Formats: sequence, C-alpha cells, structure tokens
Amino acid sequence: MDRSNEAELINQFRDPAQRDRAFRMILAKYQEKLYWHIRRMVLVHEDADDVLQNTFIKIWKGLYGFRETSGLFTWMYRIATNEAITFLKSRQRERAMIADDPDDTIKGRLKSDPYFDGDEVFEKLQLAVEELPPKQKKVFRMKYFEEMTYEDMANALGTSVGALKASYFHAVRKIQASFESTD
Amino acid sequence: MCLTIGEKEMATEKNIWESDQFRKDPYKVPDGYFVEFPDRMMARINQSVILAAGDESTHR
Repeated sequence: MDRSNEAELINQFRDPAQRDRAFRMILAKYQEKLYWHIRRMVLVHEDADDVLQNTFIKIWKGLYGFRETSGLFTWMYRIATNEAITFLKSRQRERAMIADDPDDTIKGRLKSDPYFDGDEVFEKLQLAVEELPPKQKKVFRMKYFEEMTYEDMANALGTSVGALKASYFHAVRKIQASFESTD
Repeated sequence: MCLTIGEKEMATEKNIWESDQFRKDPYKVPDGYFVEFPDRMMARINQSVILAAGDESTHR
C-alpha cells in the first residue's frame, strides 16, 4: 500500500462513520504479516494470538493520533515487536518464580503446541537463537526467518545497514558454533 | 520447503538450517484462523469501547 492510500485509510479511520470499515481493511491487509512476525518471536500459537490482539488494540487506540512520519506498517510492526517483547519479559518473570518446569522450556513449549510441526534441527536452531544477545536475536529473526532486506530492517529498527550486517554476521557465527558444540 | 530423507542424510545438522531447502516455518494456524480473526478482533474492540464508555459515565 503506498503512502497516499495509507493516508486515505487513516483519514477514513478518523471519521467515526467509517472507522470500523477502515479498521477491518487494516486487519485484512496486515493481520497475517504481523501474526507471523509475532509467532516467530513467541513461538506458540495461543501466545501469538493473545499478542496479536493486544497489538491491534494498541493500533486502534493510537491510529487516530498517528503522525505519518513513518509508514503505517513500520509503525504497526514496532508495536507488534514491543508487545511481543513485553509478553516474553512477563513470561520470563513468571518462569523465574516457577523454576525447573520442564514444559516451560522452548522445547517443551514447541512440543506442547498442536500447531507446530518442526523437527529436531528446527528446535536446535530456536534454542541457539534464544541464546543470542537481544539485538542479534532481533536482527537474525528479521533477516533469516522474515527474509527482510537490510534496508527495510534499517527503516524498522532505526539503525544503519552496516550495523545490521555486522549483527547478522555475529549471530550466524554464534549459531554455527552452537550447532558444532552439540554435534 | 522440506528436505527429502536422502537430502537430509547427506546434509549435516550444522548446515541444514543454512540451506535454501530448510523449512523455516514449521508453524501452523488453526483452520480458518485468519478468516475469523477480524470479527473476533472487532468484537473485542467494541467491547473495550463499551467498557471505557461505562467507566467514563461511572466517574462523571
């Protein structure tokens, strides 16, 4: 969607008579992209569904005052990322209170999700990704799983292409090392 | 895309994930999830709008 169509959609949203219809168009256009971005962060479908709903609540609340300094999708993508991070942090806090729950490991959560059909290599890859520092983890997910260009990533994260390339390179090296150490 | 069993045997775990054939998305969603999500989302939004309006009238 180009900027003029986006602006038109946002204007429609600001009109109470057209608000629901405009928001439905936003849902139809972006729900899948945002869902898969969130799912790759939180891994389990039920969690992704919760985070996606919270994301669209935030979008609904913020869209009226949205200043079109960034693209609409870039803005929504940031909200989705922040919501997923908030969710993961709260779960981390809960996990610290209930130590050693075998079902709450990444492997345990993936295994218990009926909507996951991955093999052992995929599980190992997820474990290795989880061990990365936060910035490298984010960059690796965007580049490897979401297959974003460095330019789009730079736009979404507000950083330089060179810095992203360096982060991705270090992330790949660490993941390779993790696979070598478990061979 | 999935690797065939033969391809899997030839590849080591170390480099499978770097291959173009490695299935990066073994995730699924329930049938019809994206079809029904907008209705569910709009219902939730309308519910929160009603609740917010109720809160405002209570505090007036």
